[in-house]
Formats: sequence, C-alpha cells, structure tokens
Amino acid sequence: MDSNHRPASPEVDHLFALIRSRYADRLTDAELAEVRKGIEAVEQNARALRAVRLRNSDEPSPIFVPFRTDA
Amino acid sequence: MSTDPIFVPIRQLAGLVRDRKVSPVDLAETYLRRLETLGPRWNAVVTITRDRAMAEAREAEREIASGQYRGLLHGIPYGAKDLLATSGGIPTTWGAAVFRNQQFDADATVVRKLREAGAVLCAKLAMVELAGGMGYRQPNASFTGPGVNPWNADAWSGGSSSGSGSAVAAGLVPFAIGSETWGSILGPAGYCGLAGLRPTYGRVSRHGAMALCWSLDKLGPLCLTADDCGVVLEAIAGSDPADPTTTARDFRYADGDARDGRFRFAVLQNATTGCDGAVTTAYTRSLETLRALGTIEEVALPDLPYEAITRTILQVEAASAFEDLIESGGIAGLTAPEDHWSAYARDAILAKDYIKALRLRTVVAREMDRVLSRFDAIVAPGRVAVAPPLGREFRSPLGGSAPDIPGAVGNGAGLPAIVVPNGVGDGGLPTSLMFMGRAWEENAILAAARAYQAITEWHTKHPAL
Repeated sequence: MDSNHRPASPEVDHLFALIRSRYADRLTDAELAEVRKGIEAVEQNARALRAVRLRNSDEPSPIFVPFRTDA
Repeated sequence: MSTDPIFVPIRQLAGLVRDRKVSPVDLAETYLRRLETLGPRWNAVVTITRDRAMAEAREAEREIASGQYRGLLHGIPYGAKDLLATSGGIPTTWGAAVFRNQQFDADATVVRKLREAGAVLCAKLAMVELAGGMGYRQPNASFTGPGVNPWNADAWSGGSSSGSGSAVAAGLVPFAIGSETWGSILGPAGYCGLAGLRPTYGRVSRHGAMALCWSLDKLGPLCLTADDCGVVLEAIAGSDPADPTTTARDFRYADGDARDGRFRFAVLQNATTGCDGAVTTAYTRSLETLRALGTIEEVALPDLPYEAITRTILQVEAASAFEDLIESGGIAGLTAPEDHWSAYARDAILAKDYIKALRLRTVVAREMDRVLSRFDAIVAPGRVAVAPPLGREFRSPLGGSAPDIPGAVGNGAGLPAIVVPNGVGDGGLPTSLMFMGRAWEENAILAAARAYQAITEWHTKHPAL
C-alpha cells in the first residue's frame, strides 16, 4: 500500500460514483481503479486546503476586472 | 565555417556574427544539419523549419552586411517548444498525436518578437503531450517519444520542455524557448545542465501559446548561461494587447558586472529534505561558493499547503482548457496510458475548494513578497535528484513524488526563478541550483546566477556526443 494511502472516505465513495456514472463506459476496471486513486488524491488536496482558516477579506486571485473596449 | 559555433554562448556568438566572422546563413546551416542528424537521437525535434530558417538567415545576413544590426540575437538560430504557434504551414502539435496536423495562421507573440530581434527559427522542439497537463507519470508521454538526455541516453531530458532541454544541451540550437506551468522550464534545464529562466507571470506574452493553465503558464528561455537567459528575456518580454495578463512594467536586462554591495541570499529550512546524495553534496558546496558573494540567512515559510494549492489550480484549469478533448474521450489518443484517464478524476474537485486554492494563493503571494523583500534570491536545489531513467515512473497515482515546495510556491505565486548547473551526480547527470526572486526582479536573480557562474565552471561542461 502506498505510504500516502488512507482509508477511503465517504466523500471519495460519492465522488467516485459521480465520475463512474459519467465515464465508466469508456474505461476498463483497471483504469477505473486508477481514476479512484486520483480522486483520493483530490480529496487529500481538498482536506489540506480546507484545514487552513482564512479571513473574510482574503480574496481569490485573479480578481475580476469589468471590461470596456475603451478602457 | 572556420569558427566552431557549437556550445558558444549567445553573447560571444553574436560578436562573431556582428563582426562578420560568422555568416548567419552558415550558422543556420550548421545547426540545421545538427538538428537533422542528431535530433532523432534525443527525440528532441518535431519539425525542422529549414525553409523558414534559411529565409530568415539570408535576411539577417543582408541586413548585417548593410549595417542594420538589430542586436545580440540577430542571426542567432533557436528552437521553439512545439506549443508556440507558427505560421506558414509549420505544424504546431502540442506534443500530442491528436494534434499532429494542427496549423495556425499567425506566429505566437514570442516567435514574432524573436523574429523582430533577428533570431532564426530552426526547429519546433519536442515536448510532453499537452505540456504534461493530463497527469503523465513517466517519460514516454509524447508522440515523438520520450525526451532523451544528452548526458546519459538512458535518462530522461525532463518535461514538459523536453526537446528545449535536450536540443540546447546537445548543441542542436544555441537557445530554446520553453514553457513552465509547474517545473517545465526549470526541470529540463536542471536535468540537462543548462540555465533555464522562468520569468515572472505576466512578463512574457502567452498569446499564441497552448493554454494549459491560464493563471500559471509562463514562457522563458533555456540557454547555455544565465547571461544568455537575460539576453533572450529582454527580446521576448513586454506588454501585449493580445495577452491581458502581461505587465506594462518594462524589462531591460541589466547585464553589467558592477554591483553595489554583496548579495543577500535566503535558504529554506530543510531545503535538502528528499534530495539525493549528489544533489545535497552539490547544494552544500554551492552555498560555500555563494558565501564569497554575499550573506546567507535561513528562513522559514509559513505553514501552508503549497503543493495542494498549486496542484488544485493546475488540475482545474487544465481540465477546463481541454474540456472538449476530455469529454469526447479524445485523450485516449494520447501516448502515455495514464493520460487516457487521469483527467477524469478532476471532475471531483469541488468549486469551493478551487476558490479556496485561489484565496490561499493570494496569501502565499503576500507572504512570499514579505520574505523576499529582504533578499535578492531564495537559493535551493534546482531538482531533488538527477534525471530519472527513461523507463521509470517519477510520480505516484496519489500525486506523491519528492516534495517540490519551491516549485509550488514559485509557480503558484508567479515568481521568477533560474536554475544553473552546479555539479554531477549518478550516471554523469547534472545537478542544479535554483535562485528564486521577488516578482519582477529577474535582474536580481540573473545577476546572482551570473555571479555564481563567473566563479564556477559547471556551465562550461558539455556532454560528449
């Protein structure tokens, strides 16, 4: 087992079900298993992001700029 | 040609061209022959642009003969990563079989600027398919084959600017243009023993370049020396109405040797964690060398999930940029097996997490500016190891490889960085040293890298071909 591997979370199960419903018809079982590992990595990244507390004033980058052709 | 131009830095080569000791036509012919005969050995080339090169070289020769010398790149051959659009029926394949016949009506801004500087386009250079954006995990991920390292034919030349790295290292072109979203200039440059410059995001127009990640993509040079990188950057930098992310800040390469005071270098705590022995040894030796040039202070970065931030942004933007190819199943036509399905997992990234990554990126940019405002550069190992073998995976399905905090920070915050060679490791493969600077301070890191190269000789060594 990969040292980074953690037990599957319900979130991974749900997200995998979504991806499988969209793409299973074009993937083999082995490829689907690899996609599931990718979703586990996505979930690990998300957990790391969610663990950080931000202030209300911390805005995303890039900041949207209204458009005018003559601006 | 009486003077051998191979492995001659741009500034010296330019002197020979300007003084009419070397003909641009002869120079182009010399490099075209090398591209034709040696290019396949390294899987370095997609398309040799012979007709265009000879036309541009003849034009350069006429102009120089008539006293219209445009500058240091006039008559100098180069290669462009094959994600830069080129007109005139020259294919732009993005490294992918599914785009092998793709053509554009106009040159990318970078190609246009280099033409205006008098440079001679000799080749479109090989690259990892779609700049690696579909999740490749091993070197065989291009329809032109894996990039082979000129220092050791069993090793990879790096990605995704594979051909840009191997072509310059093998003396097939004096310099090349690559692109970096996360590691694609610094990686091949480091693995191939070159100087590779990642400019500040927005310094160089991306117009006409394949979009992988709109907010992470940068274009920059791979050259024999740091000085060459400065010369090329000056030619390609500048605002462009066609790319609204380009800055109005002017860039003039400060190439003088004079410098007020000593450099102020920072090093990161635990900088060698995960590095192989040769990289650690070379890095330690490099710090001793740098102490002759300035002060070195250890700094700690705030505890933030740097890699998760940049990876999330990259994966979401790449999945969107290639939505049609992914949704249609067209990715099954890519070369790397893992590129056939890896992108599907990105549908699982939630919008709120992506926005969180963008908000955290602002924090990272602010914190890095606070740290870097006290220094000329953060110094770190360029890569954690020498180039991996051609047949080996370098990344696990869970995204796990050696940590790359400087890469995640630098690309996430859009900061400039340069790598230069600093030693030799297993298999005779180069190790490298990175200087990363404050936004828009390319001249500071170029000066530091130039000063390092002035008192070391690693950049003067070339592979035996």
